[in-house]
Amino acid sequence: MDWQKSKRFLLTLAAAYWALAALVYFVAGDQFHRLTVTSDALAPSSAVGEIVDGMELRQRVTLIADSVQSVDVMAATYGRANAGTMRLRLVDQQGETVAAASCDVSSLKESQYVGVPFDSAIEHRKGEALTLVIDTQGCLPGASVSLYTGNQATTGRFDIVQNIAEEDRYTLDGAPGVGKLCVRLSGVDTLAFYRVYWVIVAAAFALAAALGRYWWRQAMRGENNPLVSLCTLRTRYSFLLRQLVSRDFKTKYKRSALGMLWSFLNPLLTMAVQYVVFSTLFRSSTPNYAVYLLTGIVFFSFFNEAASMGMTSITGNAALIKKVYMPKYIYPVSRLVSSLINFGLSLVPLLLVVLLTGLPLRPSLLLLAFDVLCLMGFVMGMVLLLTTAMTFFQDTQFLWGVVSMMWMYLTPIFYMETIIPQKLLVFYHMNPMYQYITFARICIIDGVSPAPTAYLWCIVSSLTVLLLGIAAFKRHQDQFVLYL
Amino acid sequence: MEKMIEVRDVSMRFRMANDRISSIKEYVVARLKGKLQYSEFEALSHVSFDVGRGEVVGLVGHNGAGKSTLLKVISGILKPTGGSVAVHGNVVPMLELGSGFDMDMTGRENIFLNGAILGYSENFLRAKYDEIIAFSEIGQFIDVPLRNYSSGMIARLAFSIATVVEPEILIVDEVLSVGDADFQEKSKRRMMELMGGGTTVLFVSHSMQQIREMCGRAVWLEHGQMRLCGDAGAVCDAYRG
Repeated sequence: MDWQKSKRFLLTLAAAYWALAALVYFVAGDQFHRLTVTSDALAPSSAVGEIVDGMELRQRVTLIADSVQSVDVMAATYGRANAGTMRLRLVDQQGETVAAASCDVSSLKESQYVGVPFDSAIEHRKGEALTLVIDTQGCLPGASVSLYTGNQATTGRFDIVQNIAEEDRYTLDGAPGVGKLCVRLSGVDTLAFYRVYWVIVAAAFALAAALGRYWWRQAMRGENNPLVSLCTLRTRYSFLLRQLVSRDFKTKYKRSALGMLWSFLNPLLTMAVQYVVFSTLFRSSTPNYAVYLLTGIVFFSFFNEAASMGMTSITGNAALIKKVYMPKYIYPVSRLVSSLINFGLSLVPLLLVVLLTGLPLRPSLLLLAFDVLCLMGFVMGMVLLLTTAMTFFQDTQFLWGVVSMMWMYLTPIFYMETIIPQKLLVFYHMNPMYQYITFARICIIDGVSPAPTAYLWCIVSSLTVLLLGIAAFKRHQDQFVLYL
Repeated sequence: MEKMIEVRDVSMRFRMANDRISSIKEYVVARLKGKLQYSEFEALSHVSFDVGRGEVVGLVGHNGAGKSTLLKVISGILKPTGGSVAVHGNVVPMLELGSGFDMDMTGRENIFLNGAILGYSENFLRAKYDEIIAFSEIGQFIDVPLRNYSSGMIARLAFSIATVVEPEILIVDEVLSVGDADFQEKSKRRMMELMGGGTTVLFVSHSMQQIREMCGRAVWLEHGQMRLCGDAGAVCDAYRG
């Protein structure tokens, strides 16, 4: 083992870790700090009728955030110009006004939620139930608006009729109505995560450093451990790795006229086909369907390609394994690196489509580094598991053909998340590929950082699968040669 | 004398299922039928010997005596089921020439691929590149894909890559007879050069003449057990007799 080189390599890794942590902090910091929350919306079904001076609407609402800043109302404008002021007050049980807001009714839009900011935000009263009192000033019959009410919640494709409790119904001048007013509160939650971010980062580093130190000492005594494998991969086998990877590429595109260009063309053509097929179904419901689709395709096909290529990394190199000694992990790692390069190339057309569709390039794109890293760990774990299984049971590759197809349909690649029934959503969230793809879409399309929980899910799923894969591979690697 | 290879009580047992099971269905069926028995086959049993620095040791024995298995255990390809092997120094195993040659790649690319597989560094390969081409007598075909080579050319290229290095330990499994008569003569000279240069060599041959010529000591394996270990001439006599 080359100690000097290994040390440099490990220090580089540590520096990369801190760089990534700082990057995430600066790009995503604001979203870690404050989470925008909006209470559930109802689908409008009917209106309360024209609201004019002297009428009073009451609706019970719950404060949903640490700091509630505005109330959104959905009005019916009768398609005419209206005049007057709508006053909205939040009143507590003692009848005291907690916050007030008002707006010109002419600013309200038909069938759309329009936010009306409170004169001062309601702080630290999350969970409290208050009454929203609405009346008007200067609104005359024939020139005023109405508010929508509803008793159905929209959950994706399905409208579910909700049973609305007596006290949750709105009242008009004291008389109870049928449903709830279409109003919702918007606010901001302050996340404790922000305060502990660096503590978590430092704790994880300390843990890794302690383990690394322990392994380093062990390595000095000549014992083998994962740290030694990692360092020798960098110091001793990097030339071999490069050769194996370049072989993969040369044989993959041998005798093809376009060669490497296929790495760009493949995802683009797949996207073109799926775009034509599915855009009529889904385009209306999502902004920027092309980017949505291509992100899904690029990420999923990396997983798919790496898994199917990596799966045969041991059986495909049988001739070598039987005749030359080198650490077995070289084979799956070299296949992963090949797929990773391919993935990197396919990000170019993705970037191109992002630019062509007019999406701005925002700093949140940098967060993809984190996403790709997690995806990489997950894929490596899957490759190690699959190649181990494959060596003992050749059926694995046929079985995997079916499993990967199922996996593809279970991941929202070409369809929208909104068509998934609410009840099944929790299972969708357990799919790591869903996590990575959604993460990427939020970064690329919405231009913001995902919520802290998304980071957590990505790290946990990636590490779990990676460790499982390493454990399975390590346990069985000495037997591989006997089954080839 | 400094020991380069220490083989201590090495046993290699293979588990042979009544038929090698390579599908989940077969496994489950065999398991359910209770037919999942294994017969054990001992390819090596309790083999011990040392090889000192600069020694050339021959391995003799009939087919299936365990010679190749022993070489694989020493090269680290197989993990022994019993005993231990300690190897001090870098090993170049020549169990097969041209491991990992890719027929679609050119001779030049294959030199780097195969060299990397044998554990050479990039700088070393660059420095020795011309020497390899000269020795292999490939000439202008070096930039032609290997699929267009004759088998003799491939073997010559492979031999040239494998022997360009001066390893501390060389493990050879009957690879001396490649190419035409001229090249065979040349390759034999190269091997003798390597052995004379202080390299420790462990090699398998069925030619007693070769063993007598090249080796100081010899090990005779029979049915996985070591029959005799000692002076090459004496072992050859015993083996022949």
